[in-house]
Amino acid sequence: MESFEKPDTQKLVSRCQAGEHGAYDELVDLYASRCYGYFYRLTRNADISHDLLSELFVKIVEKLDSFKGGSFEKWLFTIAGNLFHDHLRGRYRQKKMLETKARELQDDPLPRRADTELSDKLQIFLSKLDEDTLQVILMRFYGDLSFKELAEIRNEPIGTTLSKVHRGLKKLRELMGESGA
Amino acid sequence: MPENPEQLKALLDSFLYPESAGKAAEDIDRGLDLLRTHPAPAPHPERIASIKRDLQNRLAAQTRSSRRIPAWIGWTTCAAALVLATTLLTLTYGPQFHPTQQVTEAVDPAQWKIDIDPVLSGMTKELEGELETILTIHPDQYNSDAPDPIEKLQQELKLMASTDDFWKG
Repeated sequence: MESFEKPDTQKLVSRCQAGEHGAYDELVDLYASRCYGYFYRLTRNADISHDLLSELFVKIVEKLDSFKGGSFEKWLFTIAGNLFHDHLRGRYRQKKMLETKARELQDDPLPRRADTELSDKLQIFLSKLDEDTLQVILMRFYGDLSFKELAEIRNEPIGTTLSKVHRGLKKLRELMGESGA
Repeated sequence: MPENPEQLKALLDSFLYPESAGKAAEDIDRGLDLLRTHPAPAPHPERIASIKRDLQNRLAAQTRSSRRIPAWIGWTTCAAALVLATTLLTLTYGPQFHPTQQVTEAVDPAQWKIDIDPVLSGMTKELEGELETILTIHPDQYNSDAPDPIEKLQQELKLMASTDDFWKG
């Protein structure tokens, strides 16, 4: 079930809190890919995902003193989730996203780049899920969080979270033709 | 930390019938496998390096400002201590404040006499002058030989009582 290697995060966070600057580089190395993946799957845009990733680590530096233990991933992905919500609210980014899409359509009408979002089959089907379901699924996957932690972050009953993830992943399997039914 | 398969099954059992719970656990597992087998692109190494540089700059700025804070506190403490010491020294060794002494020292009684006596004598003279004027206008008021008005009235009443034709004029 576990998909990510877990070093002693607590020790690393403690080193960061103690003011060891090098420890932050390790924290970036450890979480950048996961957090970028989370943002990328949500926004479907590399530039915005990089921006959000950068903002996330700035927030970590600013707020790490307020982390009082417990699950660091839960704390981290709560901030990541809030940043994504802020992003959705931000008109500037919405405009930027529209401009980027318009430019892509103008300059690159055919999806030549094999590794981009346009040729990413999973990304296409993920975009068919509603925003809320997609976010909780991605938080479960990239944050490596339990359903209890997800329910706490979302401030909803665990049964609601469980049902949302189950329905979303079931739909994704069907869309990908892997329902096995 | 996500639930292991047994924990997930137990959790689903608490919400679903056992058969549905097994199917739901499979849907969740296989669905997450899709995310695993179709990984998102990795962040650009240059952007990661840029994030690290930005963080180090921010941390260095934070360190500088946290070093400045004790210096600022130190200067403020020194200034406060100086003000306090000056106040204490002034209160202990400075001129004492005694209200009565200050008043008596400030105003010399002889000075009072010198200043006030001419005013009083002037006023007295003025009053005497006024009284003289009044006596000039009504000289009989202070004439001791003149009959008292009440006595004069009593005499008239007696006269009226003793003489029957008084009223006739």
